[in-house]
Amino acid sequence: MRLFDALKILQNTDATLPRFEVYLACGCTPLHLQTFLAAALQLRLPSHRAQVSVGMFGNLAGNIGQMTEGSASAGVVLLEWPDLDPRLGIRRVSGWNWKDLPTIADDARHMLQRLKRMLLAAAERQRVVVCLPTLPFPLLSSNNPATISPMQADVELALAEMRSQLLQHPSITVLKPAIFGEHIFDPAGELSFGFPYALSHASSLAKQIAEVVCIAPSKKGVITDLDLTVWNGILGEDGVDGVHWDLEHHAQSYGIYQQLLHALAKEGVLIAAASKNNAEAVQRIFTQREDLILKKEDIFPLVANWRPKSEIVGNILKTWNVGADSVVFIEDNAFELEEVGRKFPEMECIRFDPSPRFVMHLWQDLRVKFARRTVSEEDRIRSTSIRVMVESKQLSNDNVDMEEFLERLEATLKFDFSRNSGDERAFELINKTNQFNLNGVRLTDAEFRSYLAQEGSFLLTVSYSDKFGSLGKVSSLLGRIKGDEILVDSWVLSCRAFSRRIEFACLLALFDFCSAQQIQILWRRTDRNSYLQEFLSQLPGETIEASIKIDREKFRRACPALHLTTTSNTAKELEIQA
Amino acid sequence: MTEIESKLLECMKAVFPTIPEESLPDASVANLEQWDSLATVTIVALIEESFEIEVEPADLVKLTSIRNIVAFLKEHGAKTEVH
Repeated sequence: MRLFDALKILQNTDATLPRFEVYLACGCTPLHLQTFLAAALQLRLPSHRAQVSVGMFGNLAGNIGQMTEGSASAGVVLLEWPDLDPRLGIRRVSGWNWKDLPTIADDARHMLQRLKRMLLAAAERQRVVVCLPTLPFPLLSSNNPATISPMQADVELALAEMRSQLLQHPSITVLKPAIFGEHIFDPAGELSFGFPYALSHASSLAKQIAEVVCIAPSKKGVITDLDLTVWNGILGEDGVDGVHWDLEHHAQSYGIYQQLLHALAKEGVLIAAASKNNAEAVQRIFTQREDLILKKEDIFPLVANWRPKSEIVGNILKTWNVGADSVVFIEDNAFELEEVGRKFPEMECIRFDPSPRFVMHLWQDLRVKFARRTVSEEDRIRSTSIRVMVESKQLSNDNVDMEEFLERLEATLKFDFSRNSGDERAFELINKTNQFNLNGVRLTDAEFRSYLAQEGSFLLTVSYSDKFGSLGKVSSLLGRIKGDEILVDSWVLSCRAFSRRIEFACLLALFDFCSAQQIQILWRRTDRNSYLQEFLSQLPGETIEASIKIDREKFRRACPALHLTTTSNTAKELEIQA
Repeated sequence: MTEIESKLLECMKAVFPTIPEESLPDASVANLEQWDSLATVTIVALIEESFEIEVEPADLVKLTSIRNIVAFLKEHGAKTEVH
């Protein structure tokens, strides 16, 4: 992005949009980086007005302190070598005597310790992105510039130790920016204005920071073809033993692709196969070829028939219950790709090419699309829980009475009331669930934390398991206690947990949580929350201006049989007071 | 208006979006309150980017009005087909 374009983006932004503030703490003058970052954030968050606040020149530690005290949604801390010791920059011209070099390493280590303490404190209040030095290490020692001096090695070791310790904190992300081009340091800018970056580098840096601050929702699944995509060869023609994915048969690219899909499956990414093939042959290869890296259990569903690809893909989407925009379709055949792309224009369709360069690019691309900071229990069991859902649906369709079906599930619910603003799964559920979503309001990390910092507020998470296995945390609810009433501001339930009366059990648990007499649900109709609307219509409450008030006793009388075993903590245990 | 002047005007509009366009050709540090040191730095970056030239620190003092900047750009053989 050019500086001119960045300025125009900011000028053309609607000033009435809600503000999204990021604090940029750095030791240099932020200047154009501030402009580029605001513009890059603006492009990623068109529903908000991005604002980048900054502090004082030359005072990184002070700026981190100011960031911690402020109310920005996220903090970005940009480290450069002179922030660790001014002698590692060119604005101070003393202290490069060889005898001074060890003291530079010592001072840098002390400064890193101090910064680490400050960053950990800041992360208790907001999400923090730490950007490691991007500029070349200054040539202070007598070493050949192509080699690393002991002093540089010491400083880099201290930095690596700090980085590793920071990563232990769930609210800290460490960014190691990619460097593009040779011209990244601008000595004239550094000397004249204290701004050390070439414009192109500042622009690239800002873009990478914005991508980490405003993480796009990751995709949920990959639908892959099999012949000439997962393996080299046509199963129907070459037979089970005639298809390959290894070096020996010059087909390692297919092996790399399989390994990537296998790894993604283990991280909770849904993997399905859509193949125009003989179903029996496909089942046979997954049973007989033990050298397959992508295992049968990684794939659900595994569909092989002669129906149009778009039909197969449509059925897989229904099974997963996800939107086409959350899925990547990978296929070697241009015709099939076109056909699926026309039916599902929101779906990203990628043509598989076995060239090593393409596969390496695909690897990088899928890592970005499916990036997640941690792999949660819910991620690990996602594919299994979808199988469970499909199986239990089949069970419920087998002319079984609903009450009997629910009873046979042997379901248990665990209610956990807390004020834990670091609960990543609860936060994720609120921001990605649509069909059972009270009002469609998405929260930033800062808003989530701020809500739970209010007096009387609480977070309820609900975990579900039954005889088919666990679904993990399936529901998040944000509420406030006001006297003998509970106000519910946010409530979501994963679609994987529908039709089990969990929503009724949640309300019962809420009444019991603090012996509330009334629950007020603040809801709003959205384009996608029809399941929620249907649930609300069954409640015995009085609808007033987008809110429903539910009386304890009336609800108890109207509540259907639940067939659920529950455990819960209480408001008293949490010491939450109205 | 020459091509250099026209392109420079676009840059100045990006730096001073609230100033009426007709006032910009006569703008200078002396008569435009918003033209502070931060604005100067942004103007320098924009003209380096738009005209593919490098401004030396010693030249900063010359860039105090639109007319001076136009003269500076002509003197340094600024390219105009970049933007």
